[in-house]
Amino acid sequence: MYKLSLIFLLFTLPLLPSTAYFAIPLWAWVSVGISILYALTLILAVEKEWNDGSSDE
Amino acid sequence: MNKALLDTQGTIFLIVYLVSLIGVGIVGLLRSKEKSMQDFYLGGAGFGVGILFLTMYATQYSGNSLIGFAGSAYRNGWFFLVSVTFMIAIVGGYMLYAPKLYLLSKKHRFITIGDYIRHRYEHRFLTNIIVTIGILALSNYMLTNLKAIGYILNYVTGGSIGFAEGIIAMAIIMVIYETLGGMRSVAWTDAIQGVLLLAGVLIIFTVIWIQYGSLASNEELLLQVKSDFFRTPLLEDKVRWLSILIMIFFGISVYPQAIQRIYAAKDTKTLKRSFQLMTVMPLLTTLPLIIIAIIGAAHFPDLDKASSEQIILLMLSKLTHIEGMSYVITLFIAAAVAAIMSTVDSAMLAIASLFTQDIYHQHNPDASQKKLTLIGKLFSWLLMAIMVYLAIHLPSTIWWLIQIKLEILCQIAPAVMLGVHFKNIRSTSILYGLLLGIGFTLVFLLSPLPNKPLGFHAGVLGLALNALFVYLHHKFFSQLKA
Repeated sequence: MYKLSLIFLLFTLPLLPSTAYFAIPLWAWVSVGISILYALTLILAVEKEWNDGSSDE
Repeated sequence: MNKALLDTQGTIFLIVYLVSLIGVGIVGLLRSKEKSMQDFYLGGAGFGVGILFLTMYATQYSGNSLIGFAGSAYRNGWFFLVSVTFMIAIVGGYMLYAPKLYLLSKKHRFITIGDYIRHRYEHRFLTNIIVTIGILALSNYMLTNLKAIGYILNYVTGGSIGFAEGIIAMAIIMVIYETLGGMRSVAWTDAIQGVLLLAGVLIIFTVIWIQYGSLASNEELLLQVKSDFFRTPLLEDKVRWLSILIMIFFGISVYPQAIQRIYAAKDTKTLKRSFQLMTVMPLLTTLPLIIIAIIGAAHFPDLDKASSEQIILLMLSKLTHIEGMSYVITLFIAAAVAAIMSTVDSAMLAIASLFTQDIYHQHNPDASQKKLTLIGKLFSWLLMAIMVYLAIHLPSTIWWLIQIKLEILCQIAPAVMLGVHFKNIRSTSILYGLLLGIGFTLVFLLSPLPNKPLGFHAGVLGLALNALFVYLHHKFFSQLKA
């Protein structure tokens, strides 16, 4: 899940054109949408993949 | 000078709020369990979700988030949506080291980032460099926020409170409640400040959306006066976006005051819930601020850089004919002051703990916990006095020097993040990588060379070089040993 979140993070980059929908460019809609997905996967990663095995001693 | 934005009622509210913070400091003092560093600087390391989340939130969202983010969004348009993503990404950065570091901190009773570095690498020079970088980065945070609070109080009172007077008054309040109850007082006041900040942003967003119209209803105006907000992003914009994400991901997530809050959690579940809540906050705080600023850009398109920082205040001040608006303005000012104070007090507490634990205690290993706590409190007063002096007198010509803090701070990420996962990494690999990363970054920032080589921040390329060197050095010596 954490690795998936990093892919989402990368895809928040403004990659699409700027055609405006409701005063927001297309790339911005997509960027916000993927940021929300990124946040959701991070929440799941915190819940499921909290790896606290100590490397100490 | 502009007309005062705070009326008598607003001024009284602000004074009551500020005095109540000292009351919280007194309660923090009464609730302290022992005169120890652990109790003073980590609040006994027993914070539950409510307080831990709010202190993380209020600390991470500084005055810059409320004032500076709106100004940046006004100037950069939709590109500044990168701030929503990078505020979420900070939690991604925590996830790389916090689960393991938290357990280590409980086992070895860490108080500062220096405690962990000393324990993990047993290398005095490396520890000293990382502690020094931490202190410098936090000092920058204190300075910029103290300056901001001086400007805000001066502006909203129409000059009744001078720039220097505002800074001094706020500094005295903060240092009083911080030295009374330490982390307990700071976290509790942060909780109040966090609630004020969130309520302030959401209420102001609603008011502006109703009064100035939605984004859609401002579309034609925006396309007309801010057509540059709608240009298709170029390759250099994409590189800049990526560079900002990397720098914040590795830089802000290793801030010493953030690490101190990780240590202060009551248990793992508390920390997990706090991080999960932090993930949502950029959508409720940063995103509304960007939308407000973009609506503002449609209505006030020709502001210069300094004026654009006050875009929200400007928009609110044009609505004073509406009944009840004075309350909204007061709320915004209180939220801005709260955001700044919560950042300054946390930075001050973290610097004082770094000085006491990682510098004074190392030279005076036999000092009692009571004496160390007292030294920390005295240092806080001295530190605040120095910071106030610098905030008032530092010439703006050297401001650029302290703007580079994040590019240097992110160089300590390998020491923190790799250290918890790979127990065979040598201290020398980390040290040489760190020095190489800092050296590379400074060469680009302090010389006539471009400070964004290939479009990336020099600190980001320095970090890549730093991590690559750590890997190669580690591999080389591992094979030599084999």
